[in-house]
Amino acid sequence: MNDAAIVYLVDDEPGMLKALTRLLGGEGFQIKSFDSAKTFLAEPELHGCVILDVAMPEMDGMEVLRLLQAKGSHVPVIFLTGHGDIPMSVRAMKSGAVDFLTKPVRSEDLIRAVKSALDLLEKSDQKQEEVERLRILYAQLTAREKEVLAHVISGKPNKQIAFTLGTIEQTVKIHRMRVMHKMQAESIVDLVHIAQSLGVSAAD
Amino acid sequence: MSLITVIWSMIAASSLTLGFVHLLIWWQNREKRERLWFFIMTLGTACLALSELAMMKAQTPEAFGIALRWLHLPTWLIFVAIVGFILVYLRTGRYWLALAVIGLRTVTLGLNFLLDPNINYREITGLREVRYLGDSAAMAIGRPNPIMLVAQVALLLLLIFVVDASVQAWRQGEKRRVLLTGGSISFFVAMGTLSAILSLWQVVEVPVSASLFFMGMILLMAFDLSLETKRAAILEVELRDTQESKYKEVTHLGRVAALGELSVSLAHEMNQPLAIILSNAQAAQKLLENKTPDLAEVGEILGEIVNENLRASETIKRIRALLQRGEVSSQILDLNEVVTEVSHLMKNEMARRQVSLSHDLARPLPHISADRIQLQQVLLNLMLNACDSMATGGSDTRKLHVTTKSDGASVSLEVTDNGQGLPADVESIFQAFYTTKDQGLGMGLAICRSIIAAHRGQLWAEPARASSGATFHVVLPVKEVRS
Repeated sequence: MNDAAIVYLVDDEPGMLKALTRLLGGEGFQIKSFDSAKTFLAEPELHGCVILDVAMPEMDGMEVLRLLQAKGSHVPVIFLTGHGDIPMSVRAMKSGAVDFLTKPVRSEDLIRAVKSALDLLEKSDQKQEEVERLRILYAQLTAREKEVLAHVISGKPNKQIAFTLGTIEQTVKIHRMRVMHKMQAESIVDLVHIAQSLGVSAAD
Repeated sequence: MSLITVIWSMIAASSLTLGFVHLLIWWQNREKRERLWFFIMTLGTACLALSELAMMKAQTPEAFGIALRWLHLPTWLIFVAIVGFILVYLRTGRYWLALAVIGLRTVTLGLNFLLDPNINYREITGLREVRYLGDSAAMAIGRPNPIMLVAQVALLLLLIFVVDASVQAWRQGEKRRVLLTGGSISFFVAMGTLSAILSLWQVVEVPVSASLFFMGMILLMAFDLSLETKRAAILEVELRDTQESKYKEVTHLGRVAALGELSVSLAHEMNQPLAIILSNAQAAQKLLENKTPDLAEVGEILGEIVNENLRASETIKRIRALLQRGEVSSQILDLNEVVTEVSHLMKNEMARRQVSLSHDLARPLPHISADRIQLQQVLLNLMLNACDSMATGGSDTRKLHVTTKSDGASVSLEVTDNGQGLPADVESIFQAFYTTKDQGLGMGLAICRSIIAAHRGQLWAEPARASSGATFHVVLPVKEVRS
């Protein structure tokens, strides 16, 4: 579990905030609670997951999620509602919520949801880091090497790549080895994955 | 004073007394025309009794003749009244027979005043004393006039008319009326006039005393009419009871409908404390798993569980009160309390509909005497309507404002929204079955208005002063404090 992760509670009912703070606090989560959508949205940086009440005065939970997404935040959101119906849960999940729970919620269900939201956060954090690392590696490639990479992941044989680039097969082989080495790829399949996660597209 | 004078005066007085009672009934309710005819009948009988008394106590043949002559006027009156009474009371009787009776009797009356000394005698030569009811009474000596047969034919026609009308009424099932009214009229008119005829034709040595028999008729008819009055009174009470229970039923239905609209929010209102209780309880369970649990924290948690439980039962109590088909009861209450209670019930609905509710309550507010549940119902309806109006139009930021104030004599409540406003014909919204909602009954405002009217108050609507919406006003009289 990510130690720095915070569980943000947003509910207009003070009694509910207190009870959830106790419950999740007892499980060792770090809690920050907000009694209105407005104060929550004023929070400058979010790191963790959000438990969001759907029915709140002034602004409902769906609207809060929409505003978060508009700000470019990818914080996982768990909806908690007093009167959940199927259309509402469908809307919630489509809008990008990670879970949809109805009140009264059993602590096991809530804790499981929070844990999986934080796992998700961690995974996406890890993925983010990995992509960042690969990006640095990719930046170290020469222009020619990038060119060769694009051709290699398209699955063409070396001879054809050499013909396309107007060089000899031996040169392509050398470039290809260098790319594999620089990108720390163990196989062609690995290299294709790396290219995919970097958004590098194959050459024609 | 002689016995005859006493009896005949009493006949006149009691007959008139009975008559006046029914005259008053007619005065109160002009539709009861049979009561007017009955009064005329008693008036005729009283005058008849006095004429008979004058005859019996006459000192000279001339005085006897004049009294007998004037006796025909009340007799005519009684005939007309009997015919009129039968027509309106039994609602049967042939019109041509009625006209023939009255026509012939009017001819008799005319002849009576044309002939000297009257229709019954060619001449009255003298008087003789007869013993009657242990007293002495005067009877005429003279030649009877055969023209008086006209009067007796009129009598026969009257009897035929009454019997005919009675038979028809009997066939229609009006048995009590026929027995008491038709029967008594037929019997006593026949007996009374028979005795008079026999007396006038000098067959029997008994003075003319038809009023004695007419009095019997009047007593039986008065008895019948009093039964009728009683029946009408019972019917009226029953009708009022039915109306009251209908009113109760309709207002109850209105409440059920309003709560139906609120059901989602009320479920939420019930759910919220349950959710808080569950989370708190599970947090406490977790705490107690520790080797050294924080008992102060557990105590605090239990306190909150108790509070939330009370909150839930309070909500249930309010809903149950609104759903009950209870008696309407007036109690002395503060309108502000009603506003607070309803606002509490509506809290979630307001949140759900994104309506911000604000209050401006005058404190202290004079107390009013009203049924708490019904006032809650009115406010609930007004607030729900306002929410609906704001959902379909008007401003984007939905604002509902509830105000209470008082001018000392009355207390007023205003519910203002910034919704789509009122239709051009404002009064139409208070009519039954007026609705703008898909699932509305259209009874809400009609019921509200009848509730407020039952509280001697007024309910009306106006365009809101500051927005596109509407303001609903409720004005109720202040409960007078007796010092």
